[in-house]
Amino acid sequence: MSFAVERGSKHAGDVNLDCDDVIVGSGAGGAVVAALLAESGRRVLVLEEGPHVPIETIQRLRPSQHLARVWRDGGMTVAVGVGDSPTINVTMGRAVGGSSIVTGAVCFRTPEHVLADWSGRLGLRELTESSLRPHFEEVERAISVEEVPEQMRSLGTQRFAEGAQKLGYVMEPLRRNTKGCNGCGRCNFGCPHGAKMSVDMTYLPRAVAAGATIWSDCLVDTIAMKGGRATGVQGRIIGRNPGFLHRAGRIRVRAQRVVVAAGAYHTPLLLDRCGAGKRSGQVGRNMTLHPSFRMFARFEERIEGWRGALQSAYSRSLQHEGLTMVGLFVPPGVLAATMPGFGTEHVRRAADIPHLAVFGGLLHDEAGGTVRRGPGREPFVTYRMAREDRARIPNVIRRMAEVFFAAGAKEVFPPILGQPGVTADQFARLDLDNVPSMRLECSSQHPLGSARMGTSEGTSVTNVDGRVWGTENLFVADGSLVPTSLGVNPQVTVMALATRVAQRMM
Amino acid sequence: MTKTMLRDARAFAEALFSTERGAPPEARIDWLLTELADFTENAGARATLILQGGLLTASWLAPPLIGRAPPLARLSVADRCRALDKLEHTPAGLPLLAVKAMLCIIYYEHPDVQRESGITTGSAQKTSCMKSVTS
Repeated sequence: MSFAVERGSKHAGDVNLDCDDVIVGSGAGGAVVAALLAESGRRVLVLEEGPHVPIETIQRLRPSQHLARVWRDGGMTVAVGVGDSPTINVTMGRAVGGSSIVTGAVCFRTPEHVLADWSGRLGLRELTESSLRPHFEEVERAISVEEVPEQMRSLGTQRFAEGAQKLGYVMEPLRRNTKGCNGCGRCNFGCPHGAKMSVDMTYLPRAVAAGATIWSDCLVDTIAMKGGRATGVQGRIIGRNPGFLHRAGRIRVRAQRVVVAAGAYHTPLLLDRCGAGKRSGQVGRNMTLHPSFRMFARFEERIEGWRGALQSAYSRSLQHEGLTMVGLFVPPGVLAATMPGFGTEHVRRAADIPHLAVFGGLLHDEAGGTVRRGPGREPFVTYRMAREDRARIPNVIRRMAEVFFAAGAKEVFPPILGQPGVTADQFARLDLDNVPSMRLECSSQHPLGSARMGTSEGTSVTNVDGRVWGTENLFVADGSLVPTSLGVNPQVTVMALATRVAQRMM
Repeated sequence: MTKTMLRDARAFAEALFSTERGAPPEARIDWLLTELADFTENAGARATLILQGGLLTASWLAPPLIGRAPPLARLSVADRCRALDKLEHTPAGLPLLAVKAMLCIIYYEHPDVQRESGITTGSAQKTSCMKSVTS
């Protein structure tokens, strides 16, 4: 689906714009707010730092080209581990559509026990299952959430499910935002068939149809404030090679209201720079990541894990241990990269790629991340894993290995740097409890909570409607709002909360 | 990418993907480095910095681990493999992961490599594998 985007990089000189509502960021949160406000008759302007890569171009990109053009830092962003915590590779999108265009399309509603915690312990009484249900339903309709049929499971996922069944774990089908998916296993790197219903296929075209304007290549540096009122935003246009004597053009937007939806890494930076929410002392704190660990398993038979849906099934049987196991696959090159060794040894191991199955384990973590200003304009993010979460890591690795061995795997490759594949006997002898954090391969796709909502200024950055404490017209509408870890993929939660924020703004 | 970065990346890649027959064909490594340059150009300064850090670590810290003087490019392919393998098992091995990951992601997109490795995703054939997308 194509829609008009103003490419900032094509505009020479400075740009001054005026609108009712300016939205910083075009991902899952910003796109929803943009569509709903535009459809209510507001003059909406969306500013996106990343480029606009139309679906026709995305369809032609190889994974490495997609990484370079659509992922923040080419997929190399990290949260630096502090104390006994692993350093975590945090992946995010940086393009029109934000992270929604690099997800595996997995959709979960906020789990009921999480909502019970929010409305009970945190006092967010408005956020119950029944009050959010209409928002979930609206979002799911808009992005075409459907269950992945069992016949679309990859052989790797089928084998994992067999092992899980033997151990008494229940596997359930995942739901994804897809329409006409044929299971080519490339969701993270741009659906070649345009079947993933990310916001560039759904909410953003709706926003434009309702009169919203989207500018790409526009980096917002600061929010202009006058007392407790936001009066607009200022930033610069990211030009391609502007040349030695040419400075990048500036962009200034005057607006009645400002919505920040730049993601959990950048939203707190913008708030910090303009001093909004400062009194709370919570800006940039309380970030959760869902630290995730992959497990590869080698089977005698050819698995060809790239055949079938990238993500199709999961198990919450170990939820009481803070662990959700989710099916996935990664491109062959990524599989090869995790094979230890160099030269002949590496190439020999990489020859096993067609025999590898993959599964992932995601920790329902306590808040341990902090976003600070880093050198330049990028944030410096640290993550101190809670002691209980750190203690769970060996268990995550053990559980997934047990499932694969029960399914008949010959070897597993634990997420430990430099660790070759091990048989069941060798695995039993691994001292998982004493693996140094620096050797753990850990990733995250779900940074959340760095400008969390709450009931008081002392404990949160925004109120339950997403309005920043101490301001009249400055709102947050992205994953930063989410007050605790979810234990499941957050896309639908973020979009439902953004729907609520937009409705409160109308 | 700077000349030094290209030299270090070539030395790293020749070792990583070498077999009993030696380093991969030169044309394939040339293609890999062209694609790596395209990656750094589009992925931004931080990604380039991370890769540069990993390459520097490999180039200067790995050779002393087998009693040889740096940089890595001066060593034979077999010695490079021994040195990098040793480095990978030390705490300083973490920065290697980014370099290894990026080189592998690109390398295994090459249709010849996919064919040799039994990878049949077909993505390389469907897309413009041998040519960079510039839009």
